[in-house]
Amino acid sequence: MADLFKNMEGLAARARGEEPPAVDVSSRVVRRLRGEVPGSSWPMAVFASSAAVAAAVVFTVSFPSIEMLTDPWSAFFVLVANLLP
Amino acid sequence: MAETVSEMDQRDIASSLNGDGEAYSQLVQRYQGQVAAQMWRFTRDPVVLEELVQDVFVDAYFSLKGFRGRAPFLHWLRRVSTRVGYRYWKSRGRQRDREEALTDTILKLTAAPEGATSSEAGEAVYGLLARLAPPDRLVMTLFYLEGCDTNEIADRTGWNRTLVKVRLHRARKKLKGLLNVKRP
Repeated sequence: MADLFKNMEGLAARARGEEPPAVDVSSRVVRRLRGEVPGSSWPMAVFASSAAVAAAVVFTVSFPSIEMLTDPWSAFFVLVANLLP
Repeated sequence: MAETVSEMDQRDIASSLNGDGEAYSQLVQRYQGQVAAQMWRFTRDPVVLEELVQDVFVDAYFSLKGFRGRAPFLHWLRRVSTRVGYRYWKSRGRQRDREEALTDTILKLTAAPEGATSSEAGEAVYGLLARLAPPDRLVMTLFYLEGCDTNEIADRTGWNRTLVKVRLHRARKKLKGLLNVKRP
């Protein structure tokens, strides 16, 4: 019975001599480093989307306070509205 | 005598650190073939291969300040390549590679490897090792396809030698189990 694991070792030794497809990435790497071509790195995309979500939450939570700050008369008008019949 | 970084590399690394894109391009051209050969162990898709080789050199650029120059640049680059390849496998998680059944071709080649070309052999071993989890797959790939010993695997992965030996032992056992189960 063939020892399949031994055969795998033989195949691996043969595969070491394999030629990979030719690549030439030098200009693309330099362009990526200069920010001219977007990279495939997902961490930046994850970071950007989490930052956008966090910003949206902060904006929603703080919007009423901001509105009050930008309109100093609003408290007065609320009071007046309550006093009016 | 211990190998050191070549003068040409030293010059290009220093210029790259000073923002000289042409110098870095020279480094990429000098080593992209060897890096591609290594990354071919992490994918069999030529399009992904090109992406991974790019990722290696982009990662290497941002880590270049950490290059101490005690060993040839290629040694250091191989560590970066291993990190990029391993990250690629982990990002794919339990996707396609591991879900694929062992194809008949792979099983036939493993049963009768005589006459297989280096490319067919590479494809078959890649398919077999893809059945393992990323840490096991990495030690097996470095050991069998890259021909690294345990010291070199420890150096490339950053794992200690004991861990490498344990992982190698377990991975062999798992693969033997898989081959026995799948035997026609």
